Amino acid sequence: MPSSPGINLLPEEGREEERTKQRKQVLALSSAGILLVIIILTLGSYAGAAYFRSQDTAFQTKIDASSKAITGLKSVEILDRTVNNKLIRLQSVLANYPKFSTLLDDIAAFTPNGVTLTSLSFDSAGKLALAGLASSPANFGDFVNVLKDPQKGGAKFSNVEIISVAGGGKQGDYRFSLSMTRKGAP
Amino acid sequence: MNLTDWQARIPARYQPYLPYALPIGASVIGLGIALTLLLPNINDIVTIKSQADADGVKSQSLDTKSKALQGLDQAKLTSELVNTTGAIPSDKDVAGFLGEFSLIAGKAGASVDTAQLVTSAAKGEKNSLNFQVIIKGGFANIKGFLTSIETARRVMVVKSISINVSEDKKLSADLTITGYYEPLANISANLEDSLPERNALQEKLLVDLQKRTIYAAPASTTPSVSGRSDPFSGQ
Repeated sequence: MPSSPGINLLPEEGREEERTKQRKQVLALSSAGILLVIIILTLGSYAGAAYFRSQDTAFQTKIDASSKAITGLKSVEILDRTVNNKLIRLQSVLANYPKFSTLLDDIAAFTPNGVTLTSLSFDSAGKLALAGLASSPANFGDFVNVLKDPQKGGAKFSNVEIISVAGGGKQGDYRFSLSMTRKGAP
Repeated sequence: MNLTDWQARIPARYQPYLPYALPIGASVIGLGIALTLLLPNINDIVTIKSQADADGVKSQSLDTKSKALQGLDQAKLTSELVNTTGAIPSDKDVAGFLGEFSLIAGKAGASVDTAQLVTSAAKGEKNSLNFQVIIKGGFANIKGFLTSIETARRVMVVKSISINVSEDKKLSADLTITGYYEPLANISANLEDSLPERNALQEKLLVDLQKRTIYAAPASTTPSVSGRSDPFSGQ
């Protein structure tokens, strides 16, 4: 007799017992599986902790050995750092070193005949003040022109200003004072 | 339901739950293991792992530093220290600076009128000394003094200068000169601080310092004009 699909001819009680048995098996297997996984994880965690502990112990041993070696070479480290600090300091001092000897060379080179300086002052801000005597207005004019000439004094100084000029001294000299700024001064 | 002997001994009201005894028991044991052993251990692992990682980095940096220190040439460093200390002393050495001014002025043909420590620290510059130096002489002597200061092995910076014609027709130059010193390095408590690395400019500076002589004049950059050798003289 051909069987119709979807029709279970077992009695109702038998089918329920079959389902309960299957449910029991699934529950038993899954709970045993979970328990097994938890046990494996726990054992694994202990193994992992032991591994990291031994790794850390090895690092600690290395740290102790290196620390001892570094402490033993303290004098060499002081030497190295001192030389380095001095070099850094020298670099910073020499980076913007103002050369006053070349400033005097420049002033001397730009001072024409007939002009005599009586004072020169230069401050750390790069401001230069000159005072002197010129034997004639033309000589004083030459001096100012040379200082302002972009090919001559203008290459070295800027903001050349006449502060005062007065003529008619005892020997007919013109007394003057000038101010200017040295280019590239720190 | 077919019951075994031990199951039969269980009171009838609990017997419907018998099929779930094994799963419930396993779950309770699993939960117990997880709560008492696994979770605290995971916490420990995280702590130990991060400690091991940190110690690994520390061990690596200390090892690198230790090897670098062992590789340093102590004799070369000592010679470099002598070289750099000649340029920047390790202490204030005020007497040394004053002696240097006197020596340089004498060599330049100028006379020192005054040489004194003005303040023990220049404004905004640590480990520096400010001196006021007044010298007398001709224009060439003053320029020679400046040139020698600028090229001396001991690094000094002229911060300001004021030149006047004095009553005896000589020039009087009032200079503010800053000298520098750099004490021996302090070793920090942290052993891990890496050693400083020297760059090419610093290597060049070390060579240049050895070449630095007191009387080598800096190269002139004055434009070519017909000027005077001494602008303070009438000639």
